[in-house]
Amino acid sequence: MINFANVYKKYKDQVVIDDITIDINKNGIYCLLGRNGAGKTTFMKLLAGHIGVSEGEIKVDKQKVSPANMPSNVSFIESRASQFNMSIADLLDTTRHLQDEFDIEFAYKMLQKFKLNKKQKFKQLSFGMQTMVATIAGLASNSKVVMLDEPVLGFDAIMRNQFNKLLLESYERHPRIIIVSTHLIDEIAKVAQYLIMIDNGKIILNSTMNEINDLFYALTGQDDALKEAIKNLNVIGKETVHGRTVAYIYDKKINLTNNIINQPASLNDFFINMVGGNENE
Amino acid sequence: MNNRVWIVSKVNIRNQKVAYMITLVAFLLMTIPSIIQVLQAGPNEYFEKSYLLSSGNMLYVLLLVSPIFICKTNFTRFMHLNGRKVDYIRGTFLTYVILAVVVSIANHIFYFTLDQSWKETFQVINLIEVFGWINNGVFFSFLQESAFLLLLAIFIHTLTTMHDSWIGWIIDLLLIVLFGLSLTISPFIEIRTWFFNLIIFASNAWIQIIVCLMLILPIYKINKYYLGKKNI
Repeated sequence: MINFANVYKKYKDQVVIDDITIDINKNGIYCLLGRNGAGKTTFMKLLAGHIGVSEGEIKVDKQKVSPANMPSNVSFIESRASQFNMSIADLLDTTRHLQDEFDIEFAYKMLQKFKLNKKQKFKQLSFGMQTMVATIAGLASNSKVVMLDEPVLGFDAIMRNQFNKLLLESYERHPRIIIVSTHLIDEIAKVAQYLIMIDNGKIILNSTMNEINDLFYALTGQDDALKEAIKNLNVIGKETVHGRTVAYIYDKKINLTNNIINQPASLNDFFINMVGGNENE
Repeated sequence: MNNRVWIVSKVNIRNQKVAYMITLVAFLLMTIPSIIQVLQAGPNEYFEKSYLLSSGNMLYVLLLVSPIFICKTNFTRFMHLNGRKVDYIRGTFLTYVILAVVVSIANHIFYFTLDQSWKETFQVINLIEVFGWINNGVFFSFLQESAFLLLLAIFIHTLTTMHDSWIGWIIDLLLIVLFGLSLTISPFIEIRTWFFNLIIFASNAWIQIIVCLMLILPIYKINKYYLGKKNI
């Protein structure tokens, strides 16, 4: 479905996307995770054909993607995107007519669910609500690929929870490829099935959430014992907390000895250790 | 014509308040002083050497500014609604057809009403008279004016689209140089006269209309090419 082959994107001397090769074929909710400026938005813009590649090739359904050939089966909702200042109803109606397949019933259902007044003009909404409307419009599109760029930006905890429900409901209604870019992994992890991690323009991880849950863990214990226990493991990071060393592992589970214990670790720890000052061994 | 093209056109017409405001301001700036002058003049006075520009001509401003705003603001908004470039360009050109027709109708209404009333006191300049279109009858005059305004709007739209790259600025410079040359150097003067005779002053209305419409075709192709390359 989606194929990136040795894709580069450069702005003058700056390499924003650095030799990305990836295939995304299975339907599912994909989390595109990366720090600010890692290349998430550029990745999505390239896939939507909003910008062209510097080198390499992108294909969607075997069709080459470029600004001259934007894929009609890809919907991209960019955060902070400028929109027409119309009522929400008019905006959704316009979107419906501009696209081949648009689930207006779902869109109106979501408006009701989020208590959005369809007569209210777009610019009268708060930033979070504007994002929510844009997200609803994006998810109501039945394109084979839907991309949401930082959709939870400006959302409070309750709205983030609502967003996750919206995402799940949309996917269950129309299973397809939904790519959500974010740097808040713990929130999206509740609904995402796949994780693509991007750092400095490179894909550093492309995995299922189940695999990550199986392979990622943290160990702590006496320094010597810990060193011995992790010597053959893929250590993605280490830190010292209250004089004790914690090692973050992305590898198969080991049998614990008396001096080594499992330390609770979140997906956020995984993210930080993958893209932060990691210490791979 | 598909529904998406109509939607683009409808949204364009509804979402260019700034262009309407600029046109309104230009219209009022021309009309109010004219009305004051007419009122100040006595009922039986006639000023043979005083000229008023028809208020209807100020509506041309809409066809000058609308393409700039549509290019600069509406394009990205359509793309953010996952619109297609081809629908945008076709819908936008349909917008210009509608605006050109409406402005032409309005200008003719002004010509036959307000202009005639002001003509009792002042000389009134209306471009449909200056360009000789009205001599071909109201219907052809309307068609000639619409075709010319359409060509003008599509040309400005294309030029604005090209301004995303240095080529647009080079073309601006070239046009200025060519226009300067056409005012001073003999072969260029003749070319300008020939060209303007074709698109504006042609004695045969059909020739003027057909030339305007035919020129739109290569401009459309150029626009499509640059729009294809345009980043969002």
